[in-house]
Amino acid sequence: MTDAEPQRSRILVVDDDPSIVDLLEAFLQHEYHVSVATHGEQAIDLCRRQLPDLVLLDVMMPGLDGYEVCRRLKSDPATRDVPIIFVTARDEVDEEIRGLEAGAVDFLSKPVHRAIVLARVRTHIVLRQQAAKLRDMAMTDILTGVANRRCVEERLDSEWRRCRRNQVPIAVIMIDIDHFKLYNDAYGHQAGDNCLQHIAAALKKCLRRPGDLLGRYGGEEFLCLLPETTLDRAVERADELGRAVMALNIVHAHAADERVVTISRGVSATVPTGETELADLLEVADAMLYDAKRGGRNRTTACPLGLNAGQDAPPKN
Amino acid sequence: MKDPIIARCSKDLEPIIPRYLARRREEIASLRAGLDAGDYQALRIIGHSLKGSGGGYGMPALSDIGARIEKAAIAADAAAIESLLAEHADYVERLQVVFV
Repeated sequence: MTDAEPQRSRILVVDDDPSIVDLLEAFLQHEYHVSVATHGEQAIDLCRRQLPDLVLLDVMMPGLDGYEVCRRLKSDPATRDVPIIFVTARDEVDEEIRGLEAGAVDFLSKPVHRAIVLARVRTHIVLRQQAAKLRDMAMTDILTGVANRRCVEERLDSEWRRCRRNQVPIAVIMIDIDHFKLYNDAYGHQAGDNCLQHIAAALKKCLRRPGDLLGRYGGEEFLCLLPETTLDRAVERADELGRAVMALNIVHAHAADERVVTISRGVSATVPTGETELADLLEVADAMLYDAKRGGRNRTTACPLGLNAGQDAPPKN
Repeated sequence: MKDPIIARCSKDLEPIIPRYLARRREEIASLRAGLDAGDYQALRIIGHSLKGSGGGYGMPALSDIGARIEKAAIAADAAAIESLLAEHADYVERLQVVFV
């Protein structure tokens, strides 16, 4: 999340009565980005295409009614977390209960009134923004701004399972800053922190695909996760990471040869099977990192997990 | 000349009020058709949705008419709906919207 140019929250209004759609849109459009659906299928389709921050959902609609739309949105992991406010006639307590049980966060009664609509909507938008901010904070390393270890572990786990399902390779690069303790001792912890920040930014810049992830894994250790990547490709990427850090030219008079800060890289990859485990992949990558250190640092060492590190995919099209 | 009925609506509803009133005029024809066909289910839905919209547009009287149409349709009370139709048509005819 950036502070510059805050994006308007997106609200999806779902009602088969165009008069209600008109009205809610008129109330909301000054503060929010409003899109509309006039039946249930369209609502679900719009949610899958671009996730709104809030849904205002009519209960009584021909075809899929509000409960069914709610149920479908709640059963799809991609749309599950979107808050839904049911909009229904005032005197229908049973509907209200049923809606809340279906997973709605709140209720608005028709006829709708501007002040009430805006207040309820604002409450849930703010809650959602706060939840997103907390989630963000819980997943971000405070010093470097890259993913933290918790985030890395969650993504490793989900990507491992996804790659196993799809029978495609998954690669990891373990990265450790060379002689970082010496650097801290020589230049102080403030300089050490700056060094970590610069390196994290440089490493992150090397990521190319949406599924790639760089995270801080330990004090001076980073992990780069590359789904659908073979060992050979991962080694190329690891070398690239090494060059990117050297290009920063962070002076380190106590480093062995280069006199600048460098990183060592341990790489492993595999096509996950029922017999292999994520922990094994990490262990091999870690062992390779130590090999890289023993071999003189500022280098990439790699070994597949098992015999299966995936083949380079043939060029597409 | 009948007395006008004044509805006070918020200024930012000005662009959507003509559409709303055009739909209410169409609704009079739909109510007529529903009554002629004895289609109480259709009449109930018309009443229900009118009940839901009128007050939001600053016309609570329409919500009230809608609620009574819904109720009369559930009771299959043609005479009541007939008179509500007249009330609805009269309201729409006399309505003057003032934007505040």
